[in-house]
Amino acid sequence: MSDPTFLVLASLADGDKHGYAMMEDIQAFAGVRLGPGTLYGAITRLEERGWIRALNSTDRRRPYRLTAEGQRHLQEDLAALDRVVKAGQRRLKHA
Amino acid sequence: MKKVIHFAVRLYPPQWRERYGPEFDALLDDMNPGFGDILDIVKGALLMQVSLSNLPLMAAAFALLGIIVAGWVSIQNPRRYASTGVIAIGNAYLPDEFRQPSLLEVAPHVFGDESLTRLIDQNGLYPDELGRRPMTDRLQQFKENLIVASISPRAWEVSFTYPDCVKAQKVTSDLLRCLCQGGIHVTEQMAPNEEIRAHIQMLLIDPPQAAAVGPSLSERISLGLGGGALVGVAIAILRRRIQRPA
Repeated sequence: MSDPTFLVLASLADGDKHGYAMMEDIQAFAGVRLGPGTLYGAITRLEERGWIRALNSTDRRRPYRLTAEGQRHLQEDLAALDRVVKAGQRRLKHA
Repeated sequence: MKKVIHFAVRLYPPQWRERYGPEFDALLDDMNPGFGDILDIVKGALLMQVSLSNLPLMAAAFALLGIIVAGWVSIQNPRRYASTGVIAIGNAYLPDEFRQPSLLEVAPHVFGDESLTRLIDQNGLYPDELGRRPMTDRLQQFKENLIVASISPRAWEVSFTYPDCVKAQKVTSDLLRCLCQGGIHVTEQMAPNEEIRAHIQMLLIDPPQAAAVGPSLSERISLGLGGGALVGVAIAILRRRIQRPA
């Protein structure tokens, strides 16, 4: 859940964002504040894997977009997380 | 702060900075980086260097990390000072069968909880703990910092360790003065002769002297710098060997 690459993918799921916008968004929806080094470490890895891509920008603030492959990986991660959440809730009910 | 951040960003590999540098700078301009963010940038730079194995920069990055860790350790554990003095039984005619008592047992007026608590309050010791921890904890901490050891059949060394040199000296002086003024309560088993018991006097042999305990800040920083650089070089070399084609 606190894996930076997962959080960046989730942040980009509703639209293109640059680094600072991602940082703010992740803090808002996950309550996790990624440090600048951690955020750009995740961005670097995701771009190398081809799961996100940088968009052209006239500004220094370069936005990123989720690729089709990134979207597929995010869906897989979310499905896995959903299974864990459901199993945990089910077990708590029977505890 | 900006200079430290600028230096930390330069720890990233040049090819990474060429690609991500402007937008990373823009991010740092948008946010207000704190001390934790500097650590995060150094950590990110180290991880990036590990993946690219730039030996000099790895050494520099780990040396910087070593300095930061040494500084943090120094803040968490400030240098301490041990104030030590020697006290002895002054009577020259102690019988051969005289058994040296434990100073803590025979001087309850000095080492009892009540008098030690008074000493803590009078000298304002452990101010950070005041109100946060009960007096019994501060008393226990005081006892852990106080060492009373026998150094000859009739002499004892009293030593108190504390971060404030002046206070350490004051506490040891107070303890030794109380012992000289109040004497010790020697039992019949220790000295059967009542006359000898009545005339036992305590004398100050060596007045308290303070000495620093442990490495200084500059020694710690040097250790962090050297240790960090060595670790950086070792990791870079290891990484090159692993990546070397067979």
